[in-house]
Amino acid sequence: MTINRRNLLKSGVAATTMTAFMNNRLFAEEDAPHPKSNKFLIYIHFGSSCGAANGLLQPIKPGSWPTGFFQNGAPVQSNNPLLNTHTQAGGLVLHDYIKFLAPMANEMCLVEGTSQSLDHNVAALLQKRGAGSTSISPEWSMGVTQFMRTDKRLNPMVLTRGNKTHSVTDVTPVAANSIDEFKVITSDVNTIPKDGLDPIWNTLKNRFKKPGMSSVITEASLEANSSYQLNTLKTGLPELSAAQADITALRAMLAQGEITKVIAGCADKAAIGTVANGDGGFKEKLILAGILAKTGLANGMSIDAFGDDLHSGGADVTTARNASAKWASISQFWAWIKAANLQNDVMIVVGQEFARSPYNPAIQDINIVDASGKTLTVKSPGRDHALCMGMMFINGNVPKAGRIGFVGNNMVPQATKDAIGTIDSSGAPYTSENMVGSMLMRCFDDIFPTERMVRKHWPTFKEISPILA
Amino acid sequence: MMKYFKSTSLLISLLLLAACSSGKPSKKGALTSGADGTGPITNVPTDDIHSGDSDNTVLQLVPETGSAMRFLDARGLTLYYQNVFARKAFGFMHCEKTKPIVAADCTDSIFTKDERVAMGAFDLGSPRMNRAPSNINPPANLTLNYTRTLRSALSRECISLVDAELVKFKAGDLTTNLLIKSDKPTASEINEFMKRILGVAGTAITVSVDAETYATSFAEVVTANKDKNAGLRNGYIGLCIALTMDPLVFIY
Repeated sequence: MTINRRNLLKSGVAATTMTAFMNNRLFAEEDAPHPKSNKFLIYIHFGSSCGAANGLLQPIKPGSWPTGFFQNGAPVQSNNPLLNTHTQAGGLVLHDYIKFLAPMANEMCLVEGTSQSLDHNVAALLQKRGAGSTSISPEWSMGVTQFMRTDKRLNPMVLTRGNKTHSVTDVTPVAANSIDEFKVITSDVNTIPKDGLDPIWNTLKNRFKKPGMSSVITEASLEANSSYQLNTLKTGLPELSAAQADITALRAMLAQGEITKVIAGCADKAAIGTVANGDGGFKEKLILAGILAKTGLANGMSIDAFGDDLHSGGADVTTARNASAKWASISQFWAWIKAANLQNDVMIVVGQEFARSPYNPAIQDINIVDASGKTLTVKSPGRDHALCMGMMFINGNVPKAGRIGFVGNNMVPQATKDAIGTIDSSGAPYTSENMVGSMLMRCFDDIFPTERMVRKHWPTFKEISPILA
Repeated sequence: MMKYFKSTSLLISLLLLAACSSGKPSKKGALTSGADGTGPITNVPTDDIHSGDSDNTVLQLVPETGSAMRFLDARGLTLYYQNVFARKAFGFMHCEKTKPIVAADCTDSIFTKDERVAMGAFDLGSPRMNRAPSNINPPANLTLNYTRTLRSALSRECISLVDAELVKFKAGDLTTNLLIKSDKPTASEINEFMKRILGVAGTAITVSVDAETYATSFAEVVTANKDKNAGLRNGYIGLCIALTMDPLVFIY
């Protein structure tokens, strides 16, 4: 009597499994990804925080917000005078809380468009992965990671808790919030006895040499792969062990003292510094991202930075401070990226669910320090949801200090014709998948050489020509 | 319901295998290629002395079209592991100290809901779908994540098994012990444990997992440890993990 192992298992086991929906190995040559270097995409989500306060909605000219941003139909400015004070850097118009970004403006490009939804969950998914549900398209970082698949890294890692979809079958999602956590989950658990078990592990490694399964053709790399993994799990990833100097340097750049220097020119710096001191692990996530980018151990990461769904008041001050603290860390992180000459390989995308609507009746009184150093009480009203949003792209090859797409009067998103924000009234407002896809074609053209490759992951993608010009 | 049907189907299949009906004629042929669906149909020993099948060869399986290796996911692995790792009152060991959202999270799998992602388990079409990240594709490559997660779950279960069985061993009660029968496991005992994992215990089917070498390795581990009791415990934990993550278990 014979046993067909597959049939035996199918009934109870393999029946629950499914084959990949799409064979994404079949590319025409002009479409195929050929990575020239290790690309890494970090998506940082600014929750549902106010765009005017967090820097993702900016006026076209300094000192003047569009009509209807703070009061319906009226050319009223923010109740926080620090949001009305601007520094211009190319196409970017930075309020007082984020003016320290001006020196890196040439590696930044702001793209504004429609949020497509006013619902938190749907809008978050649209801006994180280009579709309103988790089963259609992958997160941006997963899409980049999939096309970084090579013979040497068949299952590249991406740092996220999000689920995979059919176009990213090969990526390995890993959930870790810091270098230390990542080290733990890429090494054996502490409960497995460490010492003295080598004779048993050596016997196990030999089992992968000749598993004795005539029903399957085992891959030629199985023995080498399993030995590498068992050795690595015992001692941890060697690349991380060798990166200690980089970890120390990056941690030093993100230390509180350095952040304090970055925000020293901001009027409300004391409050910003307090926020930066307790940032919920944001800096640790940046350290993890930087080290994985430099060592090539992973190709993407998604970070939830903060939320700030401030219907009841505070957006103009609280959100400005929260965002300022995060931007200060991002600017220090970017300085380290440039020092490591990774500015063309690393792309940071900062997004949000949607911007906030004009003021509603709820108000919070919050003290700030104004530009003259005096304490001022700001009446900071609540704000509801608005159907617009901005995305900031940071990379060495983005349109320099670019401004593409614009949210104008009464918070209406508009298309633009060029990288300096010339309005194109005939164009539809930009959406997240078009923004990100176009930037990937511009900056990561070795892995996204054509629009077809972008559509492998985000099927509704259409190019934004000012980004690709 | 579906899970019950699948479990029942596997059980029925295993029972049919164990019964080893002699009514089905055996075929012998020459191997062509492993990928084209034909190949040697090697007879396996049975306990039916009238079948004429017994030739004392080790279990061999029929190659099938598209025989590239695949990896069992968390659900499939648990169907094997429940043969040796008994569920406690709270379920499997990952729920020893954590309260689950629902009891099935503890009884369905030896993996936590976060670990199941690395193992390729998904819960489409089930109430559990939205409670944990899902991976809708089975693992296609042996990744560090898969190996590490597998060992992490097995370490929980093996430590529980070994500690419980050591207590009984020292009390001289071996009736319910599956792994620890003596202070020096023999090749035969190791093979029996392996057969139990694969669900073919009690049959004349033999498996080959280099048991003699494992027995020697075990002895080396114990000898190298100054504390004999610790050496015995560590050796059995290592043996348990090694056997439960043998390629015969999770590659198909």
